[in-house]
Amino acid sequence: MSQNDYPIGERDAERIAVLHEMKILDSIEEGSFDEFTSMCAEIFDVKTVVISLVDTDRQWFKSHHGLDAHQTERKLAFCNYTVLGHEIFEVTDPINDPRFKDNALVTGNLGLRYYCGAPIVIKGMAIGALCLIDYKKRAPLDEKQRRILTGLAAVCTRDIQNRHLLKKTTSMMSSILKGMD
Amino acid sequence: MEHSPDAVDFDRLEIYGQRITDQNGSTVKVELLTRLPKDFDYPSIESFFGALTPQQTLEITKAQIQAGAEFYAKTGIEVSINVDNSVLVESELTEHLITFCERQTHPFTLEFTELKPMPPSSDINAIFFRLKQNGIKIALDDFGTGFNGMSTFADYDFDIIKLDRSLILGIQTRPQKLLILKHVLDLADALGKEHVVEGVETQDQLDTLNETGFRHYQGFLFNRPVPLKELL
Repeated sequence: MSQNDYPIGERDAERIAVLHEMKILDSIEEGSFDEFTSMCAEIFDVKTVVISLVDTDRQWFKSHHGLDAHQTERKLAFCNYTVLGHEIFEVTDPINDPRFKDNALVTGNLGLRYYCGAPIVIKGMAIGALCLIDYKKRAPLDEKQRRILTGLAAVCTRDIQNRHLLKKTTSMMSSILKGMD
Repeated sequence: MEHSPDAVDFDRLEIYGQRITDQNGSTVKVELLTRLPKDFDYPSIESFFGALTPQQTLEITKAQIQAGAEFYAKTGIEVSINVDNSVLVESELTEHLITFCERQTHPFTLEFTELKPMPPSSDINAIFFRLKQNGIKIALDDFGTGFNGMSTFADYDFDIIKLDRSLILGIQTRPQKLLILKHVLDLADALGKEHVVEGVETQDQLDTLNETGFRHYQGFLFNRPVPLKELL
């Protein structure tokens, strides 16, 4: 498989509609999300943790601890596989994995050697993933670690939903105020 | 229209400033405003701006960014500058604005109004993101005036909301209105957004707003807009 090919779920358009509804793409850095990814990096002892949101033709990072980029082309995203389902997706040997051995994140300067993503599921749609990334070979997560990562992804999901609800409520309050003139 | 805006000599437009203050009246920022020379034949500043092309409004914005750089160098106080929403409609102008902003080394705020429509947030948030990468803050001006039901705030990524004067009218006698206003403040705080209450005119209003927890103000109670050089 060449690196231009990635799987797209049957309901990808619906998935992207939910992502867009959250109004989080291209938002500024917010401390709470950055503290969260930094903490995840400590818990799992990995170099990089990102909150990746998989858009039509890119993945955009709400937070990117230990990585400079704030987005990549979608075709490079390991998360394309994670958002197909509602379970953890883990890659421990990308060099020998036909799906990733030609991926520029693996073959290029970054030298990605480990990926583990837990999907961020809103309204039944995986809009992105909380991802652990490292640049050396790692053993797969054990059962307990998988449960912790799943739980942290759920916390992150609620953060994204609450952020959106607070913004919507603020707007609604202002229109109520306007009506009170 | 007696004057064609094309004939306007932009150098003759006067830059005014109005202070944004904290609860103690200390200046936290200065909003830059444009005043017309007396011999300009426009009934109002609004009619003048209404006659301008998007390109011309951008030129005014750029002149203010430059004036803001000078002001910041002398005072250490940041300025807030209005950008006409039409600049966001034409991608060429938007790129021009971003490139111009990227060349600046001083911090400042750009204000966009809720009174006029804005292109879809999917396009605009990416533009705001690029501006913010350069240390620029984005403010939503006239918050509470959006007439399509909901405020622009839900969809777009602003750092600062500037509450319109209409929101604070009568708050001293209307506890329910004040309660909702307080809730707006709590929401903004929870989202990590800054605020400015505009149109504060009386000490009574200010006392009520302070008790409610508001912290930043702009209005005639503190000062009227004056030529920027008087604020140096």
